[in-house]
Amino acid sequence: VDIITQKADIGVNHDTTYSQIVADVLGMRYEDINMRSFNDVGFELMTADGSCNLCSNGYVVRKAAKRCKQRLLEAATTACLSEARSGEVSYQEIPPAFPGMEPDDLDVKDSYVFEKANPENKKTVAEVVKNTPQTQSAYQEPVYAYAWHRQGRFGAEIGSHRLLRQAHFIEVEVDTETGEVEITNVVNVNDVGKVINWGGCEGQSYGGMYMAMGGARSERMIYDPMTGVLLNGNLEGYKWTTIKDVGPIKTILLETSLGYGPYGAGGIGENVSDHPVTLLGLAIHNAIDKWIDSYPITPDKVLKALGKI
Amino acid sequence: MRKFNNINAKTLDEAVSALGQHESKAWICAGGTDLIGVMKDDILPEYPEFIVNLKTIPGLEYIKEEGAMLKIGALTKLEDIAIDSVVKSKYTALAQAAYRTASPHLREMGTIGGNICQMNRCWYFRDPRNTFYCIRKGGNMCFAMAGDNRYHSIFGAVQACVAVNPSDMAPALVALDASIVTTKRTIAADDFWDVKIPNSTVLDEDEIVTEIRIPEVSGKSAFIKFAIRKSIDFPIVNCAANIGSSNARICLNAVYNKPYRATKAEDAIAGKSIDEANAEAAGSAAVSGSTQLAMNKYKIQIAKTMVKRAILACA
Repeated sequence: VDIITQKADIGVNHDTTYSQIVADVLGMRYEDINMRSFNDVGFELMTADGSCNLCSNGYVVRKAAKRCKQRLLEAATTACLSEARSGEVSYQEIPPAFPGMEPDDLDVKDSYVFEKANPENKKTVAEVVKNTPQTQSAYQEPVYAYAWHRQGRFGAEIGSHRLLRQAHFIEVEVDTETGEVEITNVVNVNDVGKVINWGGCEGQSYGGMYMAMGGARSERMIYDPMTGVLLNGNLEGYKWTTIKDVGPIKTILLETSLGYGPYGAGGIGENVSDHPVTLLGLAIHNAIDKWIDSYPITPDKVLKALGKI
Repeated sequence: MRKFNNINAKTLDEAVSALGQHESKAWICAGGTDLIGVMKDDILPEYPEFIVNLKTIPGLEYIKEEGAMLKIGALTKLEDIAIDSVVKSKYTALAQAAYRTASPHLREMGTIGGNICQMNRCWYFRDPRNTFYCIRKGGNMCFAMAGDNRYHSIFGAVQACVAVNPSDMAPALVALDASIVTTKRTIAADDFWDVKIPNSTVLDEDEIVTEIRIPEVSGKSAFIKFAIRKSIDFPIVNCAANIGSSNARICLNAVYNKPYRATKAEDAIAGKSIDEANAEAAGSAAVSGSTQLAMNKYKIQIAKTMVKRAILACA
């Protein structure tokens, strides 16, 4: 099965997650689904990244897959005509994979179409679609379906929202002699409604938090005050957080099915990297009873707040 | 990068001869971790026509004890120094300094010789394509003076330059009273960086470091580094301390044009017990005479703390 859509893999499991949804709806094995990049002609599909795009676009992927399944079962139960040439043109009826049945009598599982009343009566999907276009000698209409939706102001379809419920916690230790802030513990709780792909979803949560800590603690583009020249336009001068600079990050994903996306997905969104930045100032205040609201919170700012400089 | 001629030297004599022949047109390459970046970013007004590769010279990579002396070949990788059991147990400050330098990848390529000869990391000096033609390059001003000097010197300027020496190995070598052996002479660590700009070391144009020698340490030594990140970063302040029963050698770096012997701190702690109060007093003594720039006052507080903690680590 090919998913034909625009592809923009930025490392967020775009191919995997949409293929999972199609496989689930169609009854195919995951391995039998491909994402086919179709970047030059429409068919936009947002990447399965922040902004809850998997939640709002998984909805339309599922719709297309449902329609495609119906088409597949129709192809399994509908005869087609072949053209025979020997002198004069004549037509021969080719029986369907499941003659004498209706689409509702069948279902699909593990890439097999099977009779519901008698599951041993089964044929591979490949067998069912063998007369559809692959060469010039196709006899059957392609098993093809499409779906679209207006993403709308808030997400999937009009009035359906991308819903995020998140809670973030950090613990810090402040070195009052140097102003260094050590992030010792981080916990992220995300109610995503439904996790489509655990690796991708945990990665989004973990990675977003990691980026937030960098933004809170050390990242800043620094310009020469006299000329405006960027002074730290490299990865040594721009202090991107290393793995040693943040303590353990625990990710908890909740599945309450309370989202509007497919399977009750609500999305994980961008907040994993936006809101936790402000937590650093709050945690430092709890530690030293001083407010610092200028980011990034570098050691010099902590020392100044403490009155050491 | 532009075209250059690469000379794979087979012997030190060949390398020295190439440097002498081509003078300022020939630059040395050991690990290349700094050189290649300098060339790619084109930070200097000049560009080398010849690169003299030292890695093809055998016999310059070793760590051994001979008599009462630790000897390290100039091409020895920083990672090897960091994990060596003898260096870790008996010359601790050096192993700790090597371990805290850069990142694992850079330590596998970078050499101790290259590390002690490296140029400063002032971001005006290092801006690509020689954006800031500063006093070190032949210009007539220091851009950091009126600019962003948060990482710069807290002990004043040298010929109007407030850039700092960024090496982690250098203060450890000074604290351990090391000597640097070259193709021409042996130089005490105390004197190796004692130089006017634009040079980073006292080496002649055709002089190559061959060996580092450290006398056996009688007391304890320690190295401590302060940086924004726990890997990759050059120091904001670092400090090495070597405390014996009656004497002390304490060296700060990244606070001045060259490694800064904290002699006042040494006088304050020598012969005294290593405790919180004495270490605190030594830290304060270390930064007496410091002078802040517009944006780096915090470095004085950090330097004070680094001296204190390096001393306490020698308890």
